Amino acid sequence: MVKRILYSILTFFLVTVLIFGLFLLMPQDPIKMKLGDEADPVFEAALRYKHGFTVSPEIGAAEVPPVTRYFRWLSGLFRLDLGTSIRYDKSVNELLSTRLPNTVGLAIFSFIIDVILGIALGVFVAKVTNSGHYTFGAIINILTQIGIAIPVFFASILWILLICIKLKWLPVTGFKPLEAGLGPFLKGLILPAISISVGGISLIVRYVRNAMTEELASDYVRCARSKGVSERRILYRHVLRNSLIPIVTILGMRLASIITGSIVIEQVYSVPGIGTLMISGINSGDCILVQGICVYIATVVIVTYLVLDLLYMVIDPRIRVKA
Amino acid sequence: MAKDITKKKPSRIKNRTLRKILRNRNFMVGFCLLMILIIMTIVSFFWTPYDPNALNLSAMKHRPTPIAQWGNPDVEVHIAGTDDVGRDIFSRVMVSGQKAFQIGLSCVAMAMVCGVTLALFAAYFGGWVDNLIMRLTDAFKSIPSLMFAMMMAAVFGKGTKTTIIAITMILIPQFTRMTRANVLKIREREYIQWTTLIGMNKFRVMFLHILPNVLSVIIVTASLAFSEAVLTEASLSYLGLGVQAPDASWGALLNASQALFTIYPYMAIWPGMMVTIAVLGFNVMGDGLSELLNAKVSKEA
Repeated sequence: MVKRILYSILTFFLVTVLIFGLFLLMPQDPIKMKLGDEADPVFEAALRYKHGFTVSPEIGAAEVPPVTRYFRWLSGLFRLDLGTSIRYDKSVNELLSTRLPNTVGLAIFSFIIDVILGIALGVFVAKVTNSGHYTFGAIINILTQIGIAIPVFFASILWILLICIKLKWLPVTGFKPLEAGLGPFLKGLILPAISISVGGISLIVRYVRNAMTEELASDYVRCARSKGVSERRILYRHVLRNSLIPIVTILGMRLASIITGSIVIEQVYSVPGIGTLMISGINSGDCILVQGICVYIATVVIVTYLVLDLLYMVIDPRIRVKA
Repeated sequence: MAKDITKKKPSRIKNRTLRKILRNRNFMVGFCLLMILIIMTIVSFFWTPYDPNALNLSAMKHRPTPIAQWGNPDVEVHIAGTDDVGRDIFSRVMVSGQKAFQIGLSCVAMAMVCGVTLALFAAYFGGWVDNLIMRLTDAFKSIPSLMFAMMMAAVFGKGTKTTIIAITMILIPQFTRMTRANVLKIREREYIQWTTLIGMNKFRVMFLHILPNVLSVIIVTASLAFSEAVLTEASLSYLGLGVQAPDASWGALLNASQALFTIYPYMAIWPGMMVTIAVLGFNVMGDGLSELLNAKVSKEA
């Protein structure tokens, strides 16, 4: 267990080196990109100093070596200080904190839809297919394959066409910030969330069905049946519980796709979240902002994987013994 | 006598393999879906209904011509309509196939070579080489792939070249992980251990004795990697960070339709459908391949 935590810390360091190293290769000068070629040199030098590129605010001051800059940045990370955005001239933390509720809300919302609909539908499909409706199983097979393949942005376009244009149930750009109240906020996130969840639901349905079909063929089910345990109890108390372990893995892996999905989906529905912030950062060459966001998201992913691995040990005693 | 046997054997196996392939529903469905796209792409090199880049201001935002009108010589037929500057969408969708396969093929090929080589080194030498390579692979895993591609676009500028490099780097760890896991299994086999005994060159063992045994895994991974390459390219281009303006790609077409699709849905539906078919095709074919090749592996063992 200690080993697993140390290992996560090592991964974190490697990721920071990777991200920082990548941005060192950037050919353009972010300060020049912001100010243009004919900027006031005094101002430019001051700005350079402010963002930590040079040692003093004078014109022609020596550059801070990359290694020093990396360690400064890293110690900043530990103080939860991601630096100051070049484009917005605000601290990255401040920018993130205004946009975080939207992205996190979206992610949690679609994760809940994933879990509830995915598992419920999966159990239903497993039940129906195992009682002999093979055509139904085949149809679900095709539908879920399409659901996995369809890109989030195309799914969202189809949802907009169906729900907003054909049925007129929701407005196209319905996003409301959290300050407008939880109800309108969630209502605005319904479409983005279900767009992200199409792939997740399909994936989870497939996994639940496969796991349950496998478990239903096992010995303990036959034994329970011969003892006269009701079919309902077998399904929910025994089979579902045993098939949940592989499903926890899938739910963990969904996290990365939900983050990627929300980056894309925020663009479709113009939700002011982390994804839109990152794209505007990329378009203006704001390396400090993009670095900050990337490290932030990578940390979330690393921590989730760690929690997931520790969770396994809690759920399944067999893994605990092995480790 | 001996000659006869060798002569007979291949033909029988060939038939049996072919029959097996034809009977595998997953593989056939995926293969057929991809054939549609491949044929469409090949045709687009020689012929498209209209010039995909020609502006035609007299035919802006034409809706798709109804099928009943297709034979009518008086009507300018646009199967999928035209976009906001009068370019024929179907022609552009066809040409975009070239971009998708260009990016997909080059990324998967490069990633395969690099990833597999790394995996062979890692698994065969073990020790610190293995540790270093696998830790790096894991570090990569904690950066979501699209985000990594976006970061590359931020550093090296947008465009097809960056997209290819970014997707290749995303795919390398996948090949490495899949190959390594299988090489580790093969390495324990006796005939590999015997190569050390007779003092065989390590590189020779790696490439001539271990590699052929993990080929099936690599092929399946390649099919799935192709689907991810197409999907990442489309997402990146959709965000405006991938393939840039004059070039057509499915993602870029969707990006261009962003402001208009609520009124002209066909502008988004055609390219979107193509991405879905491509990803679906490679996924399903990958499933089929893993069934086919696994069966082969188990028969040998």
